[in-house]
Amino acid sequence: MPDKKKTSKGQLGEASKLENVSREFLPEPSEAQLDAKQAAISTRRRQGGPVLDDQVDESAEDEDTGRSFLPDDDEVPPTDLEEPE
Amino acid sequence: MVSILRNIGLPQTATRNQTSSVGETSLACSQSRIFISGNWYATESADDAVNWAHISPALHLPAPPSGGFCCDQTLIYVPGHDVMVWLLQYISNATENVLRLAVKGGNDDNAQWHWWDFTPTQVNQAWTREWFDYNHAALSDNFLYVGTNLFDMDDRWTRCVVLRIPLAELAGAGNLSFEYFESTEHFSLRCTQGATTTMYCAAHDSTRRLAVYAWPENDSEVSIDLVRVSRWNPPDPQTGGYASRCPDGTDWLKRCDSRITAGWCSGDTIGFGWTANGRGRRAEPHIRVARIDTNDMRRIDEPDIWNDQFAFAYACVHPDRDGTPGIALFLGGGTRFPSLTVGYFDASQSRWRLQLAQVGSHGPIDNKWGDYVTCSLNAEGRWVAAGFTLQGGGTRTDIEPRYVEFGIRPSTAPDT
Repeated sequence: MPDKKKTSKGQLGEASKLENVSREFLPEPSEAQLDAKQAAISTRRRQGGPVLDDQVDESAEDEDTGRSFLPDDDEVPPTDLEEPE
Repeated sequence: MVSILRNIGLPQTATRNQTSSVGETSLACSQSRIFISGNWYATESADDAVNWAHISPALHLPAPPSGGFCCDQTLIYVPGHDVMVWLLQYISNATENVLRLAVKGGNDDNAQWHWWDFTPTQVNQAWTREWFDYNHAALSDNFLYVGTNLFDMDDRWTRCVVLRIPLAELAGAGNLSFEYFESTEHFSLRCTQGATTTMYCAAHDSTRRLAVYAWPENDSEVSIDLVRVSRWNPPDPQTGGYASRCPDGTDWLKRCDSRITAGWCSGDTIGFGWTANGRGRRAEPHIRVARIDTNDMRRIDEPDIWNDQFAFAYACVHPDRDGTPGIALFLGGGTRFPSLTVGYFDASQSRWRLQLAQVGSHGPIDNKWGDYVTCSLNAEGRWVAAGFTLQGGGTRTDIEPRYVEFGIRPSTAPDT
């Protein structure tokens, strides 16, 4: 993977303005429409990129520090939590 | 210790019940206004959170020809230019969708929105039959950054893009110039809040490496470093999400994944946070955190947020003016329903200090929760957060959005 990436340029035209557009009267979204919208939301999000699998060498150590890359539970205790005031 | 200064549930008049358990709350505060958005409402207070005026994102601005309002609103206020920025994602037709960048004066009672519509092919002509999804925004000294993913018409991820727009051009309504880079290797790059002269963004390269992109303000190239982190567990490959059962049997993390949701910059330190699956003693999903020194791009430490009884998820971090990171996130599962939590990073102890802002009464009946909360700063430089909980039931209309101001409680001297 390259360690540099070029950027590109673009431009959009003048902004649209509220005072310049004619807005037809539209009703608020109905309860039924929003219920349908909620129902349409997937329980599985769209994802991508590298496969983040679990197939790496557990015993590997960080070449920089020599520290084992295992869960560092002993270094970071459970996070304190205050209940509501 | 965390000090919650104001903690306000939004009334139904603010949302008109146009709420979702995938609440996606965002907020921005100018000197005179608090603007909050979520699925599928927006609301504004001009009297310091006493009264809230409902704004329909579906109707307040005219929809572009390609499709009506969808979701995924993002708000950010640009103090130096007094500009309120509102990003709105529109529904995709058969060929594309629109990501709208709307702006108006942040403190002017008579200010009207003006906006520019980005489509994938307007950014790059080769990006045909693609659509934007899951946007966020961040600032450096002179630019607004918008990060978003693109998917094809079969919902396959194609690329991540980060746009850079001069702040000086936002207030005017003329042509809008922008620069951008794309990544087809790294999913869902997250920009840092609190950047100054260089914007840093990060995404996962693997479960042991972060890909950190650095884009100096005066440079047309982005540099990429791979930073080692302790190994973490990704979502279940079968479900694509996590499991965290609430007392009522609902699973509030079913659609949660490991994309980076928190990025911040504080001097020479940058930090990133994401929700990771349970592992070892950390049996529940939790927030993995990596702090990195920008001088050598090496990890400083990994002050994770975890508990063995319940899960943490969906963290958002914003540094205050002193560089102390504030945080908003959810916890839930075990004996707890999804609850809004705020706090800060105590550098002296290298630990997060958290406090529950609002305890939820139910889990989402359809197991849908997310996909973000927002932590930001108000005009006084105090942390503010927008999140949500379920109150009185488990359906989308039981969602109560919440506005929270918080800080650090001064330590008191012991009695003598």
